[in-house]
Amino acid sequence: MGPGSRRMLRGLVPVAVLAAAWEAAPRAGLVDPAFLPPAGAVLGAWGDLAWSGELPRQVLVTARAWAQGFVLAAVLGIAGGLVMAFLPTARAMFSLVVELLRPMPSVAIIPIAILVLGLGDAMKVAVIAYAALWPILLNSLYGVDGVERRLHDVARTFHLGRWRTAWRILLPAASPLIATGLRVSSGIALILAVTAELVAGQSGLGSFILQAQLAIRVAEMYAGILTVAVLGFGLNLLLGAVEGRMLAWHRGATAKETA
Amino acid sequence: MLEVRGLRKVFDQGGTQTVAVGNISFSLGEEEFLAIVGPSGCGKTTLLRCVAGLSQPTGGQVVLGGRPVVEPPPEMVLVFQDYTRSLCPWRKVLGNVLLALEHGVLTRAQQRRRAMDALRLVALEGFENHYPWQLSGGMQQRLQIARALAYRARIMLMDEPFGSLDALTRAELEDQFLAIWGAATGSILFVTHDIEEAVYLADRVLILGPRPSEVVAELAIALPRPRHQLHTRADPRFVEYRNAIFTRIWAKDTASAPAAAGRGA
Repeated sequence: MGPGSRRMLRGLVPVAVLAAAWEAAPRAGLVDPAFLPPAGAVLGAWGDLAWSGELPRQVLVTARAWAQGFVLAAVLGIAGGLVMAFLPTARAMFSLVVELLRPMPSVAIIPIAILVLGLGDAMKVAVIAYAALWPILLNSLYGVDGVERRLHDVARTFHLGRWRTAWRILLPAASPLIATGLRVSSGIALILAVTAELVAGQSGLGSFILQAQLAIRVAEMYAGILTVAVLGFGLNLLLGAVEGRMLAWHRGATAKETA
Repeated sequence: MLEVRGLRKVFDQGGTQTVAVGNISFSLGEEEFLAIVGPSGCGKTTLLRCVAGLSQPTGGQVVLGGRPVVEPPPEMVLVFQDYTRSLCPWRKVLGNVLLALEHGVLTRAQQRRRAMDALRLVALEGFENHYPWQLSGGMQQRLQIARALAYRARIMLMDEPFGSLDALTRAELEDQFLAIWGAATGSILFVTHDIEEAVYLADRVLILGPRPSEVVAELAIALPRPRHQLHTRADPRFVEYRNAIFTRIWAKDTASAPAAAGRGA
């Protein structure tokens, strides 16, 4: 057994303990099974819902909204951050707007989005994109800001010019920070996707959870919540894998420095 | 061909003025290897940045081929001391050399050929597909030198390029670089705080005093080339030059120069 799989097994120990406690507590009458059914019952409901195709359908709806909103935020955030980093005029114009909008809890714009875009997918995507925009935009901006002065010197010495300097030096040098922004935003995007569905969704995991709760199908509600957790975990793994491939140089470079 | 006239650089930080470079004048001839030595903190790097056109002097000017330098001129290339921060960690060895050739004049095939030639010169052939951070410090600095060589400038400015290497690697790189320079055409302006290194490498040494720096003496080095780590350093003249510079830098009274540190020894 390698050290990697051993570490994973160790990580599973608390999960197993929690699951056992979850199974035991309702059975022993420590908590009311009406509020927290035993783990086995929830897993059973989960299996039925997965088998019937109900949960996969809801996952697809939520994941699609997540992906659309996240991609939109990534494109706008990176572009916006770079424009602000490269053009002092743009920075002077927009930095106050960014500083005013950014600290506002993004869920607060859901009512506005419903008012303007209705209850459909467009509203969901807009809310997700809005919330996910800020970490990406700011990390892109600060990423370019933080590029070593030495690399600017190198670009000037070799006469790369504005565009080549931007594309071949500043953007790659800033990419680790941009990737951090993307990772943070992917989590935010999922939170907003489920929240928007809880508040106003006609389908998706958030709406499924709410419907199950209203219908007092408590085990199904927990099954929905578990699914959100697993979806978030999976999306994080996916992004991590993409980042690992694209920024292999960065992991190598920083690992060497700390070695 | 390169002339520095009355160069002065003052940094203004929140009202406090720091004179980094007092008043420096010198010229660099064709094919000349000129070293500038001075105590650390005497503004050597600032001087070099001004010469390179990366920084604007407060007074005086840098003249290259009859024209004042206001931007990095294409005839000059700069090698920095901190190779880790000067190389692109996301580019492999070959890509880092190519960076010097991407200014848009050469075809891809020409770029590649020149980059490979430069890598061969610094003996990094076979490492094209390594990342810089997979190389040792000495190899990384050779890579930076290869990048500068590929650019084929007439003047190479070097800011303590061997300053952060261990003694053995440093000696190896000094000789390797002297061989490359001897085979090519071009001038070198080499800044260092290491007196022996300046004497070992250069045709002529400028000695700067402590800040605000001025040229306190100038010394022509009449040691035969090719130089040799053992023989050259054991040459009595080498020791004489070294001692003369050492005395000159630490002389309290900068007005009265010892005879040995005068021009054209």
